[in-house]
Amino acid sequence: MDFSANIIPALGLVFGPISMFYIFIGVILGLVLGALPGFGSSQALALLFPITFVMNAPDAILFCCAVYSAAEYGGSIPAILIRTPGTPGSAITALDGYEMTKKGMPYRALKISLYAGIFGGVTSTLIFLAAGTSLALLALEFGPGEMFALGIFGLSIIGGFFGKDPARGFLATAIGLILATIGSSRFGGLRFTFDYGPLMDGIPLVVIVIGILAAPEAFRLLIEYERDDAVSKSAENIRNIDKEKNRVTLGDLLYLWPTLVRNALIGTGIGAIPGAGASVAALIAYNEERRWNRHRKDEEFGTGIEEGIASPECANNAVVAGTLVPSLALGIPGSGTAAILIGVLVVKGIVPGPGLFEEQTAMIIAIFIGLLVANAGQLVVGLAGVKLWGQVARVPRRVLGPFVILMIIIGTYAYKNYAPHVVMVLILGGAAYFLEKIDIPSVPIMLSFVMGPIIESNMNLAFTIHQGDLMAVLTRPITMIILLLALVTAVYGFVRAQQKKSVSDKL
Amino acid sequence: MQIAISQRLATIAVTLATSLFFVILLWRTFGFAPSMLPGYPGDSFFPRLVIGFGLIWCGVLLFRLFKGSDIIVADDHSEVLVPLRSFSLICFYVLSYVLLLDIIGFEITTFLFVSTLFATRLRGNHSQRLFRTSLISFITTIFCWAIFALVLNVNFPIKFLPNYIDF
Repeated sequence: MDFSANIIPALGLVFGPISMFYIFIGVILGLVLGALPGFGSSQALALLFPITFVMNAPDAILFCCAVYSAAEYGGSIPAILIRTPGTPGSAITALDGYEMTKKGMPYRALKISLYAGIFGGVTSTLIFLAAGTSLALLALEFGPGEMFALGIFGLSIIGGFFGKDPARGFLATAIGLILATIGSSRFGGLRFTFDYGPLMDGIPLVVIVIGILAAPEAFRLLIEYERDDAVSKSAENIRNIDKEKNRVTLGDLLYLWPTLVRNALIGTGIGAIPGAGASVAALIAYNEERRWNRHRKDEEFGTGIEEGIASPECANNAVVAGTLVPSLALGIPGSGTAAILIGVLVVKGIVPGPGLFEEQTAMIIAIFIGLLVANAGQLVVGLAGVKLWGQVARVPRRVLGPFVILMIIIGTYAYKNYAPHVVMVLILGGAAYFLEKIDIPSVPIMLSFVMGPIIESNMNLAFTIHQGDLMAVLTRPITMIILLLALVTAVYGFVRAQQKKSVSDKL
Repeated sequence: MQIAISQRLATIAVTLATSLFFVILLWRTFGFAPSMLPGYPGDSFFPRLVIGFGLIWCGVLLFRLFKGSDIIVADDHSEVLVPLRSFSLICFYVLSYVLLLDIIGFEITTFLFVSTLFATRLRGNHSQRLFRTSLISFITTIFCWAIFALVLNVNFPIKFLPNYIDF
C-alpha cells in the first residue's frame, strides 16, 4: 500500500465539495437519529442506506462513516438528559451522565461526552490505518482456502457471541446463510426461487439490512408506543440551568487526559474483535476506569462524575474505527453497522477483503481522513446544537413510529421501484421482531447473509483449485489453525453462556 | 388484542417451523444443477452444508427445550406477548400503501398512510387531532416528495406534483 502516491487523490476524495457536503449531512443525520431514544447507529444506517444509492462509492462510505460516528455520540444525548440510551453503547453513560444532569449540569455532561467521543474517534482512526494495513498485508498471503476458514471463524464469533444463547445464535446464522443462497448461483443455476419471479435475483442486501435492522424497531415503535410518556417528565432537568456550572475548561480536559488515552485504546481493541461492539467496549471501559482511576473512589462512580461519562463515551466512539479493521481488511463485519458498511461497498461493486487495501488504497486513506473530518464536524455541530439535541431526545416514541415505517417503505421502494421488495422487508421485519421476542438474535442473520457469498465463493474456488479434494483444502496449515480457532471460539461461546446462566441461577 | 404464549411453547413452535423449512429446502436442493466444472462441488453443496448446520442447532434447541435444560427458557412461567391485532394492522396498512401507490399516486397514498397512523397517536380533542394529523401528513408528504422525487430522483408514481423542477 503506497501512501505517498495515494494521499493526494485521497485528499481530493474527501475535500471535494460534494464529499464534504455528504459528511456534514451524515454528521447531522447521525446526531439526530442517534439522539432519538431507542435508535442506534445500525438502525440509523439501515434507514439511511437507500440514500447512498445516488452517491459514488467513496462518498457513500464517507457518508456512512459520518453517520456511524455521529450516531454513537448522539446515543449519549438521551442517555444523559432523560436516562434513555439512544444506542446500547450509551447505556453505561446514563449512570453518571443522568446524575450530572440531575445536579443541574446537563450541558457539561454533554460536552464531556462530546470531547471524549471525539478523542476516542480520532485516536482509533489513527490506529486504524496502521493496524488495517498490517492485517491486510498478512491476509494478502491467504488463498481461497484460508479465506474460507476465516469466514467460518467469523461465523463462529457471530453465532457464539451475539445474543444470550449460542445455539440460538448459530440457528440465526444458518437462517442468514440460507437466505444468501436464494437466487442465481455464481454458475448460473437458480436456487430456492420456487419459480417466483421476485426471488430470481435473490434477496437484495438493502432489503435484508432494512428488514432485519430497521423494520423490527419500526414495529416496536408502532406497537409498544404507550410506554414512552415517562420521557417528557424526566426532561424537566434540562430547564433553568446555570451556565457557569456547565462550562468545560481546558483544565478539565487535561485532568481527563489519562482516562481518555486508556479508554481510546480499550475501545479500539474491542472494536477490532468481531461481535464485541460498542456496548461491550463501554462496559469494559467503565469497569477498567473504576479500577485504574486513582483520584476517585469506587463508590463515587455512578454519582455524576466526569470520568464516568468520559470513559464509556471515549471507548464506544473508538469502536467505530476499530470495527472497520476486520470489516475492510478481512471482510468480516464486527457488528450490524459494519455489515451495512460492507454492504454499501458491495452494492457499489467493491469487494471488501485484503485486496481492497491494494486495489483501492486512495479510498482506504480517504475513509481514514473522512473519519477525522467527521469527528471535526461532530465537534462543531455537536457544540453548536447542544440545546437542540436535547429537544430531539424528547421526541415521543409514539410520534416516531409512523415516520420510521414510512421511511422504510419509501427507502426500500426507491431501491428499484419494486413493490415486492417492500413485501420482503415486511416479512423479514416481522420475522425478526418475533424471533427477538424468543431470544433468537436477528443481527447474526444479517451478518451471515453478508458473509455467505464470500464464504461460498472462496470454498468453491478452493475446491476447484484442489480438484474437489476436501482434505487438501482443510489440511493446509493456516486453514487448520483458523478452523481450530473457530472451534475453540464456538466452544468458548457455549461455556460463557453456561457460566452466565449458572451465575443468574445462583442470584 | 394481544396473545400471551408460554415462551417455551413459542420457541418450540418456531424451532419446529424452522426445521420444517430447512427440510423443504433440503428436498429442493436435489433439483439443483449438477457440477459441470471439475472440482466444483455443485450448486447444492453449500446450501446442504448450511441446512445440515441449521438442522443440528434446531435439534439441539428442541432437545434442550423438551428436556427442560434450555439456557434461556428453563420453565413454563415466562410468557411472550404477541400483539396480533396491532401487527396485522400495520401489515395491512403497509400492503395497502404498496398496492395503492400505482393506482391513486404517491401524494394521496402517502397522505392517507401517515394520517391513518397518526390518527390514534396524537393527543388532544377530536378537532385538534384532526387538524394536527392533516397538517403533519401534508408536511410529511411534501417533504418525502421533495427529498426522494426531486433531490434523489426516485421514480415514484406521482399524479399531480411535478416529477422534477428545473432550478
